[in-house]
Amino acid sequence: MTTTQSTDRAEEFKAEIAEMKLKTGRGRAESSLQLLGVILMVGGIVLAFGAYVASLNVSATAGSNVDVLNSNSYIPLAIAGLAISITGGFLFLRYSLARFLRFWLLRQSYDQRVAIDEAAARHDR
Amino acid sequence: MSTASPPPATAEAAFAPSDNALELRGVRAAYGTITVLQGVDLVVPYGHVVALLGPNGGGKSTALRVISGQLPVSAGEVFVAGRCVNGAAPDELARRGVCLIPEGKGIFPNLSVRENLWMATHTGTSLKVIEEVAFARFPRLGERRKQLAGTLSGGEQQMLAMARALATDPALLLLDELSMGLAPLVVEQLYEIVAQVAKEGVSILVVEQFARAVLGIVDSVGIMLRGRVTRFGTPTAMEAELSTAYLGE
Repeated sequence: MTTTQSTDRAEEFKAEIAEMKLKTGRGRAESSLQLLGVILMVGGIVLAFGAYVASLNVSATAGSNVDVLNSNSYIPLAIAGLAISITGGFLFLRYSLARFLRFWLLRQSYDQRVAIDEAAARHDR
Repeated sequence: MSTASPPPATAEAAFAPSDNALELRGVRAAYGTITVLQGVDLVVPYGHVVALLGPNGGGKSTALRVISGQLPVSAGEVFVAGRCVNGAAPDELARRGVCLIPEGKGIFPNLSVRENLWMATHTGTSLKVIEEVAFARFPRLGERRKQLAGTLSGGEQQMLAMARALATDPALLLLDELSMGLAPLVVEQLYEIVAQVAKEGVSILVVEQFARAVLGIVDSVGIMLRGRVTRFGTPTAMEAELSTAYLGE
């Protein structure tokens, strides 16, 4: 390899490192999303329960169907609350599992490396 | 004893930052609550071979883990090609030319030589090209391409680890204890290859416990003690300092 070629490689290396995207703060974002999942889970349940409690206060009026309409409008509200809660549950599960699986993968990599080192040491002996 | 001028107190004083493939500024790193690197300053200029020497437990291998992105920095900065790469993923750095040959070779003993080289295709280089480069530099591996890597001799396994790394066209090569468990003659041959690679323009940081093995091929030497680079200078100037470093002050 000539000097020009090695200079080219150094320049190429500089350019490649310069365009590298650093994934800083990913852990913090994951924790925030996990917390958001918990908030949505609890908030959704509160919303659904609130809709149920509110529906109990609907009083019947003779000759009018307003009470039925009021009562019916609480149903989608309660369903939306459940949907929010389920979405929050999935969000929480997704980021909890990601964290757990990352540790598990690290553990596997570490164990494999130790096993390889031991096998290589046995062979060298 | 050399008549060379006294070495600079820190690595930073020796080279201009713009010429550095690698630069560590006050790097601290820890395993849990145990701080291993206590503020490391080090530079590897483009096309230079720098050796990091010192007794066991000084933090040399930890420094390589930090540079290759495997261990996060708790304080300080790691600059690669002039850019701070704190928090960079190891695979990202590897893809862009920062290549670590770990202590204990890091090959797959239950795969053949060819299959081990196959593993280096993750950088986008084809197996054909990797084999051409590897077997041209290490003809002995070409003869044993179908043999299981675990059944190769220690020297051949280290050659395979080097072949796999060099085939990916590294710009910054990190070598961890190349001489570990190998006969002196084999170590000499391997370091001759390292010297050839350096001549081709690759910047190299060598970590070694056995100083004599590398002094002949390096441009600069850093002595690492208790998590710090305590001395840095030319090999001749550092030779005398080595016995003090290993045997105590």
